[in-house]
Amino acid sequence: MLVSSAILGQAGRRSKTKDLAYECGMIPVGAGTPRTSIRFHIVAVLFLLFDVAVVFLYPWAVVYRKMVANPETAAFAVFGMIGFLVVLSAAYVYAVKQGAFEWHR
Amino acid sequence: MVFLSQLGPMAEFALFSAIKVAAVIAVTLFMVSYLVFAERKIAAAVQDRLGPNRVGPFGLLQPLADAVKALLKEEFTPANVRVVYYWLAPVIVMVPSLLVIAVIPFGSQLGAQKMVIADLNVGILYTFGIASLGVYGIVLAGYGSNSKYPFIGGLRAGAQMISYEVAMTLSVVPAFMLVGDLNLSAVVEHQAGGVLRWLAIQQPLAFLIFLATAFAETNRLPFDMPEAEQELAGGYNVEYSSIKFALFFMAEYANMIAVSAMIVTLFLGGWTLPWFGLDLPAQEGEWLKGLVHLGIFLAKVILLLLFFVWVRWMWPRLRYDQLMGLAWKRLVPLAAANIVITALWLWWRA
Repeated sequence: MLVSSAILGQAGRRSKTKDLAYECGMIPVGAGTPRTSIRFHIVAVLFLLFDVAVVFLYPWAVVYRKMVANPETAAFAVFGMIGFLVVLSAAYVYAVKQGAFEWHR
Repeated sequence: MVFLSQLGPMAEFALFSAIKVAAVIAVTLFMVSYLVFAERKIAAAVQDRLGPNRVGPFGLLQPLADAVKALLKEEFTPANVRVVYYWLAPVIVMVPSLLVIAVIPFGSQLGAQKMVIADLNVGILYTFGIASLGVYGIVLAGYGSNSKYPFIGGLRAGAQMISYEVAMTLSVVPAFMLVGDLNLSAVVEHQAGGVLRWLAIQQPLAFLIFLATAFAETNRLPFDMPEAEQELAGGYNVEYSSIKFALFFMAEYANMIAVSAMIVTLFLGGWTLPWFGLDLPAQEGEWLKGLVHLGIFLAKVILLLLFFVWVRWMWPRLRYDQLMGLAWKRLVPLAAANIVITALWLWWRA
């Protein structure tokens, strides 16, 4: 499918202007991949942290109902994960306090 | 039918899987083309225009004409792009959206075959894993184009999608606490037996968060910052032309179909309908019931898709900082609180 257009499509002329990066018709200024805000990096790192942490919730969610029904394991199921979530939300509160999600200053 | 009985179990499995894969991909691509058409018609109706009406009766052949046009357009690779990534990106965007559908049970049973391509017991983890691969394609498209608008568009899309991914994965945890199984077929069976048992009713907050994040994951309005036409001139696909551009476009719609199928499966009862005994899976001889289940699933998906289109033409766009703020400061804590509340409620009930 990808090459089909190269075979079927009209062959266009190439020119120096056409090969330029598109910037609404202006001559491109500076590098094609400019320096960007560090915030994107922060968001990426936070995503890694939280998404990996969230994966731990899934096995817990599956067995939770059975564990709660059994009085011996109920407290373990509830407070084990609440403890985990408390640690996680401490990290979250820290990130918010640091202004990781503030996009304009 | 004689040769079917001579096949070994492996060969039979391979044959039926191949048929199912081919059928699902064909139906999905067909739906993609007509979803684009429906979107243009609805947009026209909303804005009091006519919409496409020249090709065929009521313009119904428009998708065909568009496909031919995309194929016959000039294939142009600008000189300044990073060629390998530039060619790879459209494929990486398109493939995950089709792969996601593999684990979704789109019907109960037809003959002896379960109507799901891969009945994984960790279905939902697979879906989230594959769905996040789509981010790579978009970021690569931005990086590979080596141009400012696509680069910024790609970065924004990446940041937006991973942010909403966190909220999305958190939001469905309560649903699985109720079901007690990660298999999507089990999720559907759990919802059988009345509308009140649908997880959208039992977990309304989870449903709403998932719906909002679904819009963000598919880059639809009101969360379509990555391609905001007015400021980025189209975002990560600016430097693309002909079929490669069409692939990005199709990927967006294929994503919508995949995510709608997910929502229907997770929250809206999948292929079940609480009347006429339709919430029980069809038995081996009941071909009609199996077909009706397929129809119910498709109808629910299509209704949800029309909802997606409707929202696009009714809502204004969020600003980028509002968008990221909504994901991290509102949806994530809400989803986490929902988990704790559900946990305590289940504990109290037990």
